[in-house]
Amino acid sequence: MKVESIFICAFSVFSIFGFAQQKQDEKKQDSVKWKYTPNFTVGVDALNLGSGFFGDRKLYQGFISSRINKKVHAIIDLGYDKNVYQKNGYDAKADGLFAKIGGFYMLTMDPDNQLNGFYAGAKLAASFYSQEYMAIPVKGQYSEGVTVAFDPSTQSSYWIEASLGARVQVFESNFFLDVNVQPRYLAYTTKQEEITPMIVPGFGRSSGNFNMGFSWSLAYKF
Amino acid sequence: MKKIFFFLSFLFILASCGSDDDICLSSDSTPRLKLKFRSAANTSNQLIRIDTLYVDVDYGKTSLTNIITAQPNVDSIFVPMRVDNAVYTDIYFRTRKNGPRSKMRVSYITKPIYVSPACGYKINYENLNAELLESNPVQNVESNHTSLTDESRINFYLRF
Repeated sequence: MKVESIFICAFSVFSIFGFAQQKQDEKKQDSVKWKYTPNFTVGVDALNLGSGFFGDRKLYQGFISSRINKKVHAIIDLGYDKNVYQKNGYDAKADGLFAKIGGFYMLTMDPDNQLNGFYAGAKLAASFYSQEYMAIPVKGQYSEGVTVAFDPSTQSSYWIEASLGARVQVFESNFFLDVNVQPRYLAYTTKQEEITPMIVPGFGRSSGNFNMGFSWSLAYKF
Repeated sequence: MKKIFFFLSFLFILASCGSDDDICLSSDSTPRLKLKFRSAANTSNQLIRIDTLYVDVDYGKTSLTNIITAQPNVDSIFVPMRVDNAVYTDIYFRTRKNGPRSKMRVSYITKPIYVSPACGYKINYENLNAELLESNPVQNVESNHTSLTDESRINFYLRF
């Protein structure tokens, strides 16, 4: 866990340099009517891919986004998440696929390159996964280490998430860096024997309904 | 603009030191057996106090767990019982350190109840039945309330 945290910290510092190349021109742009032409940006989350080497959580996710008008982009995220929860007497694991669909709105745009800038958006997300609770603690005085176990089962969870982030072109290439934070709220989850899931693939720790996700993606624009 | 970059990075750094919220602070744990005392010398239902009491419980470990040591002037006690799959808990009573010891076997049906993510499960006991296997200093056991879901009601009266 410690190593994973240090990795995320180092990645954050590194990401500042990635953005340092941003130009600060303040030109007024001409407002030409924007017409949709098929365009796609495909990205892979490098932060979580990398931290998978250091922690128990293996999170692989990517996105496809398309600019549908001047300031609005549609986005679909797909991912696979495998995680364990071994704490406070719990021993649980879960793995499964998740998908998110939504859009984001460019709050500020670089006049030179309209794909650069800050954005805010919202997504609906769903996760379909299998879980196994090998141990759930039973609380009783003088009886530490007593647990109950459950058979593997298939569950699904649904949440809404906001995204706040920035997208910056890497020099003059078709590559972009996309960094965003995703505050999320677990709206509904199926339960096994009324047990609130401790981990939900794609959502993360779910003992509380609120969670925060981070991603740092390298994207390519076709 | 640049400020927002730093703000974003700051958020990332915050994420590195995220806290955990899985501590069970609530007292919603497995309820304990509640016992009170009556006199064996007369048949009245008047409650008595025990001048000194020692209680040991067999939790399935290699030795007995001493839960009450030389408590003076006791009018009631709470005894935590086993929460594993055992169908009974053995409880031992003494009124003197090296005096005779009574063995009471409380049998029951356990019912696990899910509490919360942080606390996990607690156990409720049904069909409580006490059997006195060694009867000195406790002479007799009287059943009062045979289900144990909270600690509000007295389950057994012990006659000393």
